[in-house]
Amino acid sequence: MSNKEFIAALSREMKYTTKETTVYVNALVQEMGAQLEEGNQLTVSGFGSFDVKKKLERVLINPSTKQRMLVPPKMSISFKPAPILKEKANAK
Amino acid sequence: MDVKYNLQDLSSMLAKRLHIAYNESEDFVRAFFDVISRSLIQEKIVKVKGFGTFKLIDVQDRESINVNTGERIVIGGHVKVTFTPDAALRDQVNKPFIDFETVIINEGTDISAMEDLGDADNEDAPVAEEEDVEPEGLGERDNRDAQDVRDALEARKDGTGPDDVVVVEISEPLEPAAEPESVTQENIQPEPLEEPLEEPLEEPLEEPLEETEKKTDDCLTPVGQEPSVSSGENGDNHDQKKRKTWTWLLITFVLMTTSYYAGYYRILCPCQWDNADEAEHADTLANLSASSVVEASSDTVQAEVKDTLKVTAPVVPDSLPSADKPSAPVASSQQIERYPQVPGGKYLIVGQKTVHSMKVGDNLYKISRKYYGHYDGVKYINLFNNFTNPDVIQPGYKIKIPRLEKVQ
Repeated sequence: MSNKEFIAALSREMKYTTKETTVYVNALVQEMGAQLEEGNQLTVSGFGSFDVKKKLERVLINPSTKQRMLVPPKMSISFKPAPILKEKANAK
Repeated sequence: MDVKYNLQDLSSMLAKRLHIAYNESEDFVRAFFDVISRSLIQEKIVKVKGFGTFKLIDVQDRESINVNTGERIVIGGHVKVTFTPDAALRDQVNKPFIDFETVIINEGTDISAMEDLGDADNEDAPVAEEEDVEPEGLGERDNRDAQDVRDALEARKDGTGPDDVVVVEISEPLEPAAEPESVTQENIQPEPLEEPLEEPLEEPLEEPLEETEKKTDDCLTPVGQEPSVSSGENGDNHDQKKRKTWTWLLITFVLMTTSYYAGYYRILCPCQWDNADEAEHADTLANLSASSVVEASSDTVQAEVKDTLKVTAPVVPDSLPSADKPSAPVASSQQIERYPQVPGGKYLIVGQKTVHSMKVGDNLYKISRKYYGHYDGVKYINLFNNFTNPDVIQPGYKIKIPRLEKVQ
C-alpha cells in the first residue's frame, strides 16, 4: 500500500479530506521523529514500540577486493511489534 | 532523553503542534496506527512518507538449539513484522554521527582489538556523547591498557620535566582506542625510565634531559625537534619514519652542496661579474666544464654549437636584464662609426671587451650569457668577429668579445 493509498484510507476513517489528513500525518511523523532524535522511546500499545539503539563501529571485509573497511558507529531505529500484532500477522 | 512515551503522550504533543483538541488528536493517532495494522495484514506492506515502511516478511523454518537443554530445536516458520525508517528519519536520528564515514583501512594497521566488538548494544552508555563511544565500547583488555598508560603518566609527572610528559600525553588522546601492541610499547618505555628518576628527585631538570637524549639516540631522529612523538608509534611506522628522515637529510645535504658550488663559481649570477674578474671567472668556469664534461671530438662541439644556436635564434627574450657595464661612458659617434653595428639592434658595439678562448663544450649562446648576462649578444659577437659560419669554430680559437652599450 503506497503512501497515497494510506492517506486515502486514513482520511476515510477519520472523515477528513486527503489534504487535511496529509497535514495531520506530517505533523505526527515530525513529532515522532523529534522524539526519536532525542533518544526517547515511543510505545503504542497493540502496535509496537520504536526505540533508538547505538550501533558500535565495526570492521567489514569486502569479500571480492579483500579490502578492510571501518564502518563508523551509528544510531539506528529499531521496531518491536506488540504481541497482538504478531499474532494477527501470523494468523493470516 | 531516554524517556518512554505512550500513545497518550504522543497525542497531547500532536495536539499542541496542530493547535487542536486533545480528544481529536488522540482519535487521529489511534486511527493512524489502526489503519497501518489493518492494511499491513491485508496487503503485507505499508509505506508512510517521511516515516518509513512497514512490511510483513515470511520466515522459513530453521534449526536451532534450545539454550537451556542444549537439544536441537526447530524454530517454526512464521511471519515477521518489520519497520524500515526513511532516509530522512534515519539521518535525523543519526545526527551525532552524521559526519562519520566508512573508511578503508590501510595495510599494516592492527585491528584485532576492533574485530572483537560485534554489534553489542551498550544500554548503559549515554547516547549523546559521541567522543566517549569508542573507549566505552572497547573490551576490557583495552581499558586495562589505557589505565596503565594513565598510571604511568601520573607517576612520571612527579619527577620529570615537561618533555617526557609530553611524550605520553600526545599519544594518549590521539589513540584512545589504542591497539594493545602500541600501548604495551609505551608501557615498556616509560617503566624503565621511571626507576632511575625516582631517586634523584632533587635534580628533576637534568635527569629528563639525559633521558630524552638517550631516547633520541634510540629513536634515531636527528631532525631533532620532536624526538618524543615517534616513541609512541608502532614498530612499522617507526622504521618508516626513520627512513623518511634520512631521505630528507640526504636531500638537504645535496641541495646545500650544490648551492655552495653554484655560489662559489657564480654560475647563476652573471650580473655580478665585473670587467676585472671576468678572466678569472672564465677560467674557473672553463675548468669546471672541462672537468665535468667527457672528452668530446670537435664534431660534438660543432654539433652543440649548432643546436644551441638554433635555439637562440627564435628565442630573443626582451625581458632578460641587460648587463650594462656601469664604468663605460656613453659612446661617442666616432666610436660607433669605427665598429660594424647590427642594424636595428638594441645594443651598440663600442669596443672590445676581451678575448675568449673556445673550449670543448662552449657555444656562443653560453658565452653571451656569461659575458652579458643575456642571450642577445650572439649577433654582436658574430658581427664583431666576422663569423659567417659560427658552427665551425674550433676549440682553442680565441674569439673577440665586443663591449656592448644599450641604445639610448
